Amino acid sequence: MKEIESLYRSRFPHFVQVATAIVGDPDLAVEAVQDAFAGVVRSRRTFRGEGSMEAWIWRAVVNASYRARRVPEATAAGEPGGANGYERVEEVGLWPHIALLPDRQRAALFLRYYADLDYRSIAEALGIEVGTVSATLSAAHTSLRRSLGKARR
Amino acid sequence: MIEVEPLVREELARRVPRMESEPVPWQEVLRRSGELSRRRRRRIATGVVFAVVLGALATGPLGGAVVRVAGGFSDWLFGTPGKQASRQAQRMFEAANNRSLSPFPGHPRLHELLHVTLDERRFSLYGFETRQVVCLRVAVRAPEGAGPQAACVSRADLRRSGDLVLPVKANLSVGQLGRMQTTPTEPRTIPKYLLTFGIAAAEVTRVTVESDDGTSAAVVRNRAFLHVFRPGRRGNWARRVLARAADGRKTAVPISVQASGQAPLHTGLPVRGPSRVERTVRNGTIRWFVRREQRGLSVAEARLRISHCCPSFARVLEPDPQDFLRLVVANRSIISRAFQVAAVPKGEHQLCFGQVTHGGVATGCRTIEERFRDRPWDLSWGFSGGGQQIWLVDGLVSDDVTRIEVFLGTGVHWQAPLRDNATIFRIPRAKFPARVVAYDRDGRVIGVQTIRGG
Repeated sequence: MKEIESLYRSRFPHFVQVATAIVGDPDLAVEAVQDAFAGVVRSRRTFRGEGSMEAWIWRAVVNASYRARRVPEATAAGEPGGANGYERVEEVGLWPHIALLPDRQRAALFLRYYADLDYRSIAEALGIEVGTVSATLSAAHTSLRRSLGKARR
Repeated sequence: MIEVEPLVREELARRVPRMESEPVPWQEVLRRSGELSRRRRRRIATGVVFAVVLGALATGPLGGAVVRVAGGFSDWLFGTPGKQASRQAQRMFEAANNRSLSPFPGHPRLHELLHVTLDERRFSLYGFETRQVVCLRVAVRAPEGAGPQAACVSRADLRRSGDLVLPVKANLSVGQLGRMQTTPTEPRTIPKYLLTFGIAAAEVTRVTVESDDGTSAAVVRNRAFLHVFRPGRRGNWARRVLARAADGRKTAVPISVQASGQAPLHTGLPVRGPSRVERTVRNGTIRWFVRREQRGLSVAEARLRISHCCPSFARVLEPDPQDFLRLVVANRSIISRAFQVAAVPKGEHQLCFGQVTHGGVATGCRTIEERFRDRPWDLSWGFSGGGQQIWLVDGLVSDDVTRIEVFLGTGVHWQAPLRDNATIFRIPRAKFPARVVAYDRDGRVIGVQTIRGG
């Protein structure tokens, strides 16, 4: 239990950051992280120690974030910039291309860049082989490179 | 070939910035997991034995000290007392929260604390927590109707309070006797009921409220109190909250009456803290604002429903990650949709600043040069909503300020939240005067602001 709590305290900003990237809403992301940890606390005795505890928790956080993800609300008519504000959301740069990546590729990117996880931990968190992580990230990079190339043309 | 990795890293960091600290207590995770209930059951047996021992101790000289350690505001510091509110009450609360311009974050759960019935009217007090802030919400079921009113206090303020009670709202009026005052020359409206409520320490056995016409008891339950009385005449206000603990301790907390014709509250406490500015700072700036850096959140990311005017640069800041209070800075005036007031564009070189409240946001605009010409900050203070006993201080500081400290009349002092050149914090009105002090990186005092309250 102490190890779980310690990871919660030390890595909370990273968990929330990845969850926010998946869920798209910081409040829902915090909820998802808490739900994930609540689940981890409940099922801690089932952790067999085959991989790292942190990767096991990351898996729970990623899964909880996907569960919490919801369809974006429709833009209200007549309000500049949409229902949530007057400021036009700047949809330039890489984000629209990242958003179009398959879920696994996006999750791998988030875990790599936000959480600084190594390939083994990402593999455990996503329930895939280590070799597949490398291929997944490579595919994501290739896809983004291609999209950027097209956009610049 | 495009080098995509640095671009990905940069884009992700820009899109979802990392939070700087832990905003949600571990206890909340344990509560969700059911672990707290399990632990509670285990503790009950131990608690029975402990209670017997405590009961025996309480009769001796050691008793008071033991009760103080176990009691105080601990039930509010680590959770929300009371039982979960009914689904209907929760739904109504959530509906109101969703209508808010700036909802309480984290989907707070409403807890039922106590009810007072008077003249067949039911006054209900609820509590909830959001981040490290606890709030009380009063709802009235009466023909006169009265929208629910919430008031909040930070857990940090509770920890710092040495009192047995902390009133959060006082003299909140419900209904009226006779005609409503429509012009300033008419006689003022007499409220039908006046409500005073707040948080009570665990060891409090009795709370009374002293008004101009006498003293009457409040209902105390679930570490909270609610006092409802009929003033009956003009000018009869609640003036003090008195609390008594099981060990004989007493507290008297003065109330600030925010009604026309009422004098500002004088607590009689001394002004404390440094009074001398050690270095004069002129013509400061906020570099990130000048450079248009993407600090905090965009208005869209903060999910603020704001219309009117279109500043090309606006950021929503949360100086204290433990609190839900938010501020907005922009290069042109912002006025919320709720107020339906047309913005007055004052050019693109303004530093407009305002607090985001549940009802709206309205910024005040000045140029950076005007704000920081002869001082390193621009602070304001006050309250919003009837009967508030917890005041807010907010402001912008120039890059020269690295630390802000608050010194209360009670002798307590603490470091105020400061992030992205913005600060916002609460001060219970009964603890005034307060002195807010700004320090530079060398620890020299560069700003002193004494707030005596109104």
